Amino acid sequence: MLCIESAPVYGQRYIIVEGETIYQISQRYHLNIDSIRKWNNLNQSDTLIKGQRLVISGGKIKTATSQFVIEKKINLVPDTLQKSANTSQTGSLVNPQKRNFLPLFSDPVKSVSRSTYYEKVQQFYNKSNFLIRIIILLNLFFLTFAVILTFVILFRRLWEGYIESRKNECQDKYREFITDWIYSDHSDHVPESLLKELKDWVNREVFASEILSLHANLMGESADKLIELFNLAGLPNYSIRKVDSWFWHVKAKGLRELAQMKITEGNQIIFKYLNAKNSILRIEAQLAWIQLNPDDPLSFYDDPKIQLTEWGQLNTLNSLKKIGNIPDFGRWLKSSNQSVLLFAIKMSGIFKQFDNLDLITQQLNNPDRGIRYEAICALGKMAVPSPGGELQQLFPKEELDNRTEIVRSLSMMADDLNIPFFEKVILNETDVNIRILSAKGLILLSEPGREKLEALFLEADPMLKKIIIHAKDDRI
Amino acid sequence: MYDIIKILVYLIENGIFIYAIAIFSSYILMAIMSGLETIKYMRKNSFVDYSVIIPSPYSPSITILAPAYNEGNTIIENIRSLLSIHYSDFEVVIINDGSKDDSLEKIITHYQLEKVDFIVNYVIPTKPVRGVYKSTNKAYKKLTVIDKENGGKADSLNAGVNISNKKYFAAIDVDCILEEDSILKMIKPFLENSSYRVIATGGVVRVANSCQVRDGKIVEVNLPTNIIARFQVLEYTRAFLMGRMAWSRLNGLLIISGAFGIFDREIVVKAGGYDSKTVGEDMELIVRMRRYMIENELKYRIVYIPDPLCWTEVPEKLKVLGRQRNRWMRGTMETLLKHKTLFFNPKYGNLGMLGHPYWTFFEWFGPIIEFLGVFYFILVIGMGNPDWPFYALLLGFTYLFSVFYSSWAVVFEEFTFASYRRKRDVARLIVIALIEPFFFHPLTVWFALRGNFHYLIGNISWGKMEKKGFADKKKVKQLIKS
Amino acid sequence: MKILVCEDDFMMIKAIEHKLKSEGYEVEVAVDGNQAVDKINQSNYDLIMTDLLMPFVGGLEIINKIRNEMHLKVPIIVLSALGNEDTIIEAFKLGADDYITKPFSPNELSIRVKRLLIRR
Repeated sequence: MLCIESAPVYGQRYIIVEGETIYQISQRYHLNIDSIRKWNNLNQSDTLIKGQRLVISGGKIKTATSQFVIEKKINLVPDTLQKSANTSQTGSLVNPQKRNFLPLFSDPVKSVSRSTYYEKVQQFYNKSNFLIRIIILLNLFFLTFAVILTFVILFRRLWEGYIESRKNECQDKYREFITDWIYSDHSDHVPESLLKELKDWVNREVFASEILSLHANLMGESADKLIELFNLAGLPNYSIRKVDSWFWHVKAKGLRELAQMKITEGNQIIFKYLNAKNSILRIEAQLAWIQLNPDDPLSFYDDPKIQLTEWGQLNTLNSLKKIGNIPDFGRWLKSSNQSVLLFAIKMSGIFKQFDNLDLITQQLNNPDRGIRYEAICALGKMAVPSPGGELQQLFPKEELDNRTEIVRSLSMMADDLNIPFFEKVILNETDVNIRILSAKGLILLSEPGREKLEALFLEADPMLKKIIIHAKDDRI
Repeated sequence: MYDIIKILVYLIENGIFIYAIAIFSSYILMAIMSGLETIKYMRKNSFVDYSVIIPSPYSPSITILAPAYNEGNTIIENIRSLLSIHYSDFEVVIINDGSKDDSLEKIITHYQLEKVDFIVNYVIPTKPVRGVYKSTNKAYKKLTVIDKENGGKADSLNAGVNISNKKYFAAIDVDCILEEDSILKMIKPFLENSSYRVIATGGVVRVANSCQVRDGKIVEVNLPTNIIARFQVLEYTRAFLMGRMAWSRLNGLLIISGAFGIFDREIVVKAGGYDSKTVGEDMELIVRMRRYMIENELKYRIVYIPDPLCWTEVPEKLKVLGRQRNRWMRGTMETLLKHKTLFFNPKYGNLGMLGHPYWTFFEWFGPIIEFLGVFYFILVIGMGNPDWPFYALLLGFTYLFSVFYSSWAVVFEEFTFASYRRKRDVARLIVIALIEPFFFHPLTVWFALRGNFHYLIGNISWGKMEKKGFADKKKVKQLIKS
Repeated sequence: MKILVCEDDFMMIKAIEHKLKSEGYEVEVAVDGNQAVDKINQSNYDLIMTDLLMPFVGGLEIINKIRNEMHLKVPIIVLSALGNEDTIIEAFKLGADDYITKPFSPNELSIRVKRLLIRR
């Protein structure tokens, strides 16, 4: 016989031990004998066998102790509703597969407590098939995660608020300091107190970013002073450290800082990344290289494998302007690398490198349409009349956008010899835009051009008249 | 008979179940991909100096197109804000789509415009242009105004494309408020790719309701006070930050919001321009542009920027919202059906194998299946004791998933652009996430269903109307297009 | 001598202000286009220095206002990152007296300011 400290919980089974009677059980659990008999389909004459299981429903429930404890104490076996449940009480259109899903409430319920709900849920879980279990688990997962996320947001806010206030504290102070520094004459060392402050990363970031942003706008003596300050404050080491970081965006930031502050120690590291797989790192490394090697800034363009995007070229151009040393792009006008060639042509045009005129004119014969386009544009920018003839010859062989560009470039050359060409275009072309551009080209050729245009106007059909009027309006 | 019902039930229940699993897993997949893509963008953003683009000879020329219809109240301010965008080589073209109010007069007066003899090259056929106006004041040199007969937004955009001879154009809703460096950020992708051509970029659209606007610029971001607008904030955040970014990564984006997008003019013209006969012209154009590139075997990309660059007012009244969602659904259906050859067609890569089917099954059929599911559930209840615990579980699953997903959206927002500074705004968003499945979501499903319905009767009516005559046809068309 | 500086970058403001004040000028600052317009309406300045890309009202519009609406003859210096030919020409056409591109040298800035003020 076991000691029972509290009444069994609802729905439990009781295993009969040697010699127990129903009467004893009923006394123990404060249950009605008839009820016990009824629940277990027992007649008055039935005796209990050791190991037999009885359903014990109802009964007084004393405390909400855990099922496990109770089990241990009174040797109860958690119930598994068996065959009886196959006769599903739902009787509705239930998916045959779900027959295994068993209804909970096949026994009449007298009273329930929180512990019974929990147990019910547990029972439910254990009875359910795999699918339902997944759903239950997922539900719990979603719920907990949603709560966690809420807390994540909260903590993030608090953290951000903290950092923000720290930044605000020191920002004005540092701005004052930096401004004083660039205008004062006796600046050769940084106060100890500041150096100590800069050991903290928040302060350091603010200080560095203020220097960098100011430096981007300044030139000359003040800019040099800023670089000096950057060095004296011990910041170059941190920039170098950034380049060693795991994250590519931190690396890129580091490269940028090295570039802007002209930290020559960084040259070796930069060289490593010139051909990095990550295109952004590659661009940053190239830009950094340009800044730090003003004597031969684009040496890496000799590399035949290099790939240039327009974004990279844009930034390269920007960097070149900053260092003030524009290399002669003729060096790369013979490159076999398409993108380098494109870049060289474009740059020759922008910087009006007339020495390269012939090389660029040669490119008008290049099989690639894009390169021809750039060559046409560059010739237009240089605005030298000599290639005019070749452009005119090229005109009939080209497609619309290149033809448009040829007309545009010829317009910029201010060469009266182009007048017959423009006239031909105005009269023969079908595309309205080109005809307008040609008319504008004539206008740019002052007296002779305008006379020609007036002459054309007099004999023009209505469409051409409209085109010429449109072209003459310089607002459009 | 009973057997047939049993099989039917089996199919329906399992069908819905599989569908639900499919849609939920795809949401999760997309959220993950979006997350990765957004993080990548944020990191890139952290050190990019966009201002280098402005003075550069590499910065491409852009035409900003803004169709306007009856915007008299705000048009002057809107134009002013467009003219002060941070960029160098651009022009602003306002297309007055035959407004019935005094918009045109107001603009002409304020910006000192006069008509110019502009010859319009109708590369894409549009309704006739009545006049082109430029300013006599040099400060407004960049402004051009087109006055034309009413033809709808697509038609107006086409007119703008005709006038423009620049490389790219930006299509904007005129009442959309742009951030100052919107163009800079949206133009950068066009410059970044060397091996393929970027033909369009799109950006996130944010909800401007209740935000403080001064002189065409957002000075303070607030969560809308109107609850319907609030639901849409969450919805937009989810759709853009957790959906579209993934599609951008997969190069399967089917739509760029009509509120703000930048397009390669040449490709748009070659693809045929906007289709003025459809209500979903923004989506339809993107699909057609993609088809053009694929059919011509040209390597291309369409890129999405998660940066909040464009702020727009969203409907605050149910009626207006209903019409909008109805129109969106019809637009979606029109596009998907017009381009049905893409469906699971491997020739079209991600567009055909992923994009089109996804939109068909989840965006189009989603509301329908959901409605059928609810209908079935009610049927089951009516017929006898259903498996309550099971259904409770399922409903719980759907609800909790929705809350879970929405809270991720809020987290995404927090960790990226954190537009809503006040803690209680964030708290309110979370509350919205909790109640959305009960209120807003059923509404959107309902509106989408009506969209389906209107599309169908629209098509059936055509057949009937053929016999009756044109007067009635117009009436139906008006009803549907509203 | 009172100078109005219209600029939205705070660090720039500090740097310019410091320089000009050290030369003995009185400096007022406007951080956006609207503020600039307000200040111009309220006080008289001996020189106006403005950036072009500012919130609300752009630099070019401000120059236009000063020259064509208020018909003031006050010297205007443009200080901007926009260095392309068209913008520079535009600015001068609208009435600017000088155009300095960023990055610039504060020393150079100070001399140009002096030059314009002497003319007065």
